[in-house]
Amino acid sequence: MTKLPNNILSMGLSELSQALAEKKISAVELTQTYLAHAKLADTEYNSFIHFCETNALEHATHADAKIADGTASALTGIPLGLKDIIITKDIPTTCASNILKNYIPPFNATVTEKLLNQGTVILGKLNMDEFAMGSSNEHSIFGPVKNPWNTNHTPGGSSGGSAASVAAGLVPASLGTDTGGSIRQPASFCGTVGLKPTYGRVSRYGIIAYASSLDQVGPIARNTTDCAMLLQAISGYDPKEATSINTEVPNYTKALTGDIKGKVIGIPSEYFIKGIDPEVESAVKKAATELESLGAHITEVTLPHTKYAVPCYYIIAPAEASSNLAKYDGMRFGKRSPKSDLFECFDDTRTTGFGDEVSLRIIIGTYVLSSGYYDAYYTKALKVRTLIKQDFLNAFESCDAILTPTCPTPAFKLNDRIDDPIKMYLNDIYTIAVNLAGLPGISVPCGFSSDNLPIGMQLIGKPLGEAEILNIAYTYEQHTPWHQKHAFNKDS
Amino acid sequence: MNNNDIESIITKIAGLAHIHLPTSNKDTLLTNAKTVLNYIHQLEEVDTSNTNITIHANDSYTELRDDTVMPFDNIQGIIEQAPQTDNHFFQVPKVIDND
Repeated sequence: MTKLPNNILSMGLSELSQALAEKKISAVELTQTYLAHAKLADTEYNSFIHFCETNALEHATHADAKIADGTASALTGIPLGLKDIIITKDIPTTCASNILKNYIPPFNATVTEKLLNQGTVILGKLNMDEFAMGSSNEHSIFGPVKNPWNTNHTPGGSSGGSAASVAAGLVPASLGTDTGGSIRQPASFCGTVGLKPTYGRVSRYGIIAYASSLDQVGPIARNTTDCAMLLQAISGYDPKEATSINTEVPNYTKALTGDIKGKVIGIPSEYFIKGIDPEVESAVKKAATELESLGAHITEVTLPHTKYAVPCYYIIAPAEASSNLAKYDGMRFGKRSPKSDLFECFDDTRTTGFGDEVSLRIIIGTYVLSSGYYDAYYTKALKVRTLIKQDFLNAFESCDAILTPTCPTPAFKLNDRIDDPIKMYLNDIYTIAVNLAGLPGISVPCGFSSDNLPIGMQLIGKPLGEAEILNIAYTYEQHTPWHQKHAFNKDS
Repeated sequence: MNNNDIESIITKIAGLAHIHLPTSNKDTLLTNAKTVLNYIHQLEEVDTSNTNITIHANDSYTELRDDTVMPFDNIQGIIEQAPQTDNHFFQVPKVIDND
């Protein structure tokens, strides 16, 4: 084996791409290095559900051939982790649920296919809250993920494994999904960059559905540039996905100019209210001052229906979940109860197959869709959703992007909120409205608490405004140190 | 609506979703369901009398595909995931009662 660069595990995607192109390391060597490191180090974090060693080495061999024959892309040979909600052909995909514990998909998700076509290497499948329902990664049959900054704390959820693995240096970048904040909140808790694209920008074909009018796939990485590279690779129209947007994908990395002079950034007063941690408030307000010093104009905007976003979400998302999860009946795939009576088989399969939070949301969803309650809850929530969306459209008449905290607090302790669903749900108060409105949002590190836990800020963009928020985030990164601090070298 | 009524409705709704409230943590699930239902009830205070519904976040419509057969090259992979099969058929518990 050639002598590997010393800092290989701390390299970002661009540096790795260059090292591979210059033959300083082969894709096979890089894959072996990452696998060996991740298998050992993850005993502390539990961020992986499954390592794909055989497949990864096959993909890496293929990547080396592409590099040798000059057909490599910027991502060829780069190892990645995928949230275990993303379908991977012949590789177990469990959604962290007992009901899919032994499921081996017969096809690839579109994002999987896109990444493999570019020669990336899938190192493994990452831990998550069951069916993406959770904000702490404590609802997984494989056990909770631990925050690499402090293992007594949650990494956030539902893409907890995706964020923790990046923060811990077990993968250079990963994919997660975001239905109400499930990329941005864990990215914030783990000190990484996480982007939820505009609804329709990235195909959900082969993403196990939770709430179809809200779900999106997106990248989690160590910095904005890596995030842009990965978003580029997975974006675009997909005829297999009915809500896929058929418009050209901009060049996201070229959009990172570092110039935000004259950009108007709105700050909503409704996001700085009782319940926000003073250290979070201070860090985000300092970030606003920094952006102003870089040439942006800061203006106050109003999003008056913000307080209704969480209750609105907890009608719409469970309603859609109850419908989407009706397919898990044990007949065609997944777990089946041995009971011989058809209805007893259905009941037993689902009762023993789903965890408590998933069962709760299915019950809530069935309730709000049932005759007699449909208009009072579901129709009402769809109307409130219109008001929330309209708030954003009104705000964007006077600004180019909106700056908020990603979460009201830094990462909370494991077991701290597991028994109180409302306390847990309110943790997503700043991210949920973005999904209801279908907008892009990115969480970027903007400071640390006195307990040395990362704090994230959220930039919300106009529909298909990913390039704009990426550039604002990138510009901020160039003048601040936060993205250079990693959990894997926190003691150095 | 009193607590007993809510509990009986939630139990009935769970049955419709083919989920039995497990005896081990039935009380927790019921308590959490009641808490969430109380919480989401606050939307009642929003005036939506002149507001239309939003079903999808963007303004696009659901694109319909042509009704044509598309090839799929891994039928065996689908069959292998079924809990019980008979050649290329899914075997399921008896649906029609002979009695």
